Amino acid sequence: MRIIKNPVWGNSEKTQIICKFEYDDGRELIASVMDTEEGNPDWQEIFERFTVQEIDFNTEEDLEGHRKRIEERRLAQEQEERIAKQNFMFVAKSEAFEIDLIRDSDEVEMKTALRKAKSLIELNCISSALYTLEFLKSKGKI
Amino acid sequence: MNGIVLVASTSKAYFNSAVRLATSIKDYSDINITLFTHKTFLPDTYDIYKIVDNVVTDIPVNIRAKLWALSRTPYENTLYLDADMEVVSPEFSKVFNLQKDNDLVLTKIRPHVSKDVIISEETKDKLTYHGGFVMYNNKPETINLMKNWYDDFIEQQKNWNFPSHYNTNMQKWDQFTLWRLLKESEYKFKIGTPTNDYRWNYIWLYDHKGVNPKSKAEPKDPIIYHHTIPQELVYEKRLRFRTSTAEDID
Repeated sequence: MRIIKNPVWGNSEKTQIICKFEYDDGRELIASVMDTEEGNPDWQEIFERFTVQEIDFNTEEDLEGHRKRIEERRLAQEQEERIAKQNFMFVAKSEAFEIDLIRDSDEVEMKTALRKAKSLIELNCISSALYTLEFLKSKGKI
Repeated sequence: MNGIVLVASTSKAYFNSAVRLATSIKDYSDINITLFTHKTFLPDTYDIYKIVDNVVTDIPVNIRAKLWALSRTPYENTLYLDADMEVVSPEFSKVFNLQKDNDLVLTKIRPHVSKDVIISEETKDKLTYHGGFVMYNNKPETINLMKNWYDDFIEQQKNWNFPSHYNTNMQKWDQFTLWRLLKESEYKFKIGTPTNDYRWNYIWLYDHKGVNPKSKAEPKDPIIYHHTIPQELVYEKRLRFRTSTAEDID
């Protein structure tokens, strides 16, 4: 004996239904059911137990759940990428400030810009400029 | 004298970050800095006293050594800052104007960028104050609060003896210890929160999630930026052995 549960449309033409078959012995399987020329008894049974509106409702709920899971995965991935970028920039800026010429520099505006750098390229440009400036100053060249 | 207390314990990653913070403080102000750290972290390639004014090295090896240090401040008015913060604005030079006649000046936790804030679903109590920016005077009651904050937190880590409606996630948070101490204190501490307090403790997540998720207003520029040190770095540079006493590690 098996019970048919949670039918949803498998296509936009509504000629296919995806549903769950639950058996007395506890087995469950996901079934794809379509009508045939001779008449598929499973298809007929579905429409004896469920109305088209109920299947429409199940389908929309299922799609909504699917959209939500996709959105959650997207947000989680975005967050992971942000954390990875923040970690990367933190380490890069730390390394920049461990350079004596940069750490000990009196060029506060440039150091502020370095601290606020939003990308590696920006950080590299500012730290290179600041390093060069301090190097030249240390050699009395400017 | 007013001054800033920084603490770097358990991992050299915190020390390096504290040096970066101290450098940024000195870029914008002449405020005196005391660094509590381990002797083994001190550099031999540069003079730490060019960056901070005082160094204290007999500190416990504990992720919350900061709480141990708070009551040992040498200053009349103290600002404690987490080691992973960085000053990014000249407005910082006026930070001690925030003290006024307050015993404590604290910034607020914003739930949308925090992990656990609910203390109890039953009483609706929530964590309020962030422990990364703590300004305080040296009245006996305040120093006693700081001492109790450390002692009670250590006890809290070992034993969770609180009402069953308290969220057990609170056990790991020192902000819970502070909340409880302030709630139960007979002395009523005067606590100030700066206008636009988020600027003084600008959590990096505000760049993406905003300061107030219900408002579309752009946040104002930070004065102190609060990073998060990557955990891999903290782990890589951690002290390799621990002691529960306050002895130096060599």
